Amino acid sequence: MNKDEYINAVKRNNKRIYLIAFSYLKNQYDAEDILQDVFLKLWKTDKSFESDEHIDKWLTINCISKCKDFFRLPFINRTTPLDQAKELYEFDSSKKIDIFNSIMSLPQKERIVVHLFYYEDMTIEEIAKILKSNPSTIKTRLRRARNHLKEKLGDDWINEQ
Amino acid sequence: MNNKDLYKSVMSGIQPSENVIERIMDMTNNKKRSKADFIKGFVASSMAFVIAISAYGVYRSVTPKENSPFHIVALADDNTSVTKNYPLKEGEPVKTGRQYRQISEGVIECPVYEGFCVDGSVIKSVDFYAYRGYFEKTVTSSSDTNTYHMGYAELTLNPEYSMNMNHYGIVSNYEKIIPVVYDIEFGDWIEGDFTTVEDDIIVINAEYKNGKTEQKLIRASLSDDGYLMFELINENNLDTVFEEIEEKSQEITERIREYKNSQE
Repeated sequence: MNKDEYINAVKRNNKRIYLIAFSYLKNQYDAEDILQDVFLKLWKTDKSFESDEHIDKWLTINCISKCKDFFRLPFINRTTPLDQAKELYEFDSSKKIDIFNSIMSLPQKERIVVHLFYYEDMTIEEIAKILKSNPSTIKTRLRRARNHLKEKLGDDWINEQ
Repeated sequence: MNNKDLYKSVMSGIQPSENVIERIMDMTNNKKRSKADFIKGFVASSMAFVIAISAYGVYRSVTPKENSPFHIVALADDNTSVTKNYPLKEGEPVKTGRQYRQISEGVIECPVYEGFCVDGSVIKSVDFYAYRGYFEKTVTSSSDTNTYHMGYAELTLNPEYSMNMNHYGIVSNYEKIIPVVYDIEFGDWIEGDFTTVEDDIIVINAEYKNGKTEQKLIRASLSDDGYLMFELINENNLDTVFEEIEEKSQEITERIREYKNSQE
């Protein structure tokens, strides 16, 4: 990969990859670390990519993989207060704050499924593949997450069941 | 607005900080180092540091390398964190990283984790030094007994100065450096003296936190993810290796002695 290709990949994907990591880890600094690790790996890899889409998918898979590895580290503090996450960003309405808080309060396994489904527009099958899980498991997690969000947000969250 | 649009609008305001993106872009300016260079560098710096620490006695004498960008990663432990501010030398380049933030010129905020001092004292300060191209750290505890002070941290450097996952404990009035390795098999941290016997092999006299002691051979290697990993080695060839260890230990001792004499 040459420098221009790399820079384009960073510009195209930095926010997207960061959001996946953030959804997973709920911590700005950890997510930024993952972001750096993923792009460092991209820069160092000898892999040849067929297209931009191929690069983007490779980045997504590697981000998920690194997030999972991160939680396996023995010295990681796995609990991040919600306050730490929500104070980092500014939202233009109280409704958005409520939604953000509700999303962040979901269990990690549900949170990442929600993010991949609602932000990355992935299908259940695609999410299952990338998380190395069964489609039925993903479906269950998504259903539970939707129930939680509906419960917390009421009319702000459309019932999709 | 459907739920997808709603979700996207909420997440639209969340993004990585500018300096992180800048750093990621800067990666293209770094030379790529081979695994062999990496390991060699790690062992060389570790050895050099042992000698430096021993020879100086006071590790604050180690001089920071000019313009060494680094990225520090905290060693965390569940529910034991405290946050403090640590002064760095003026102009010393500090880049933000996990749990570490530059809060003003020359000052970083970073967490230190209680419970890591062997004598039970709270870690008081962490000083960071770049040394011979590599980044080193020292930790002291709040104990004023001046006996056995230890602390641990992980360092991750910019790829150009790569040294990831290196656990050190420094004893303030002690003539050795003590690495700490997480033994997956044992499920606990091992700590102990060490020396190198080959380019990538370390032996430590391990003292587990539960009191168990034994000698361990560890191979340092670089994972595909860019982390320096420590792997416990099958101990079939212990006799040969320990001969080499003894030889190497004598050599190090001799070099320390020579260095000390030259400083007096």
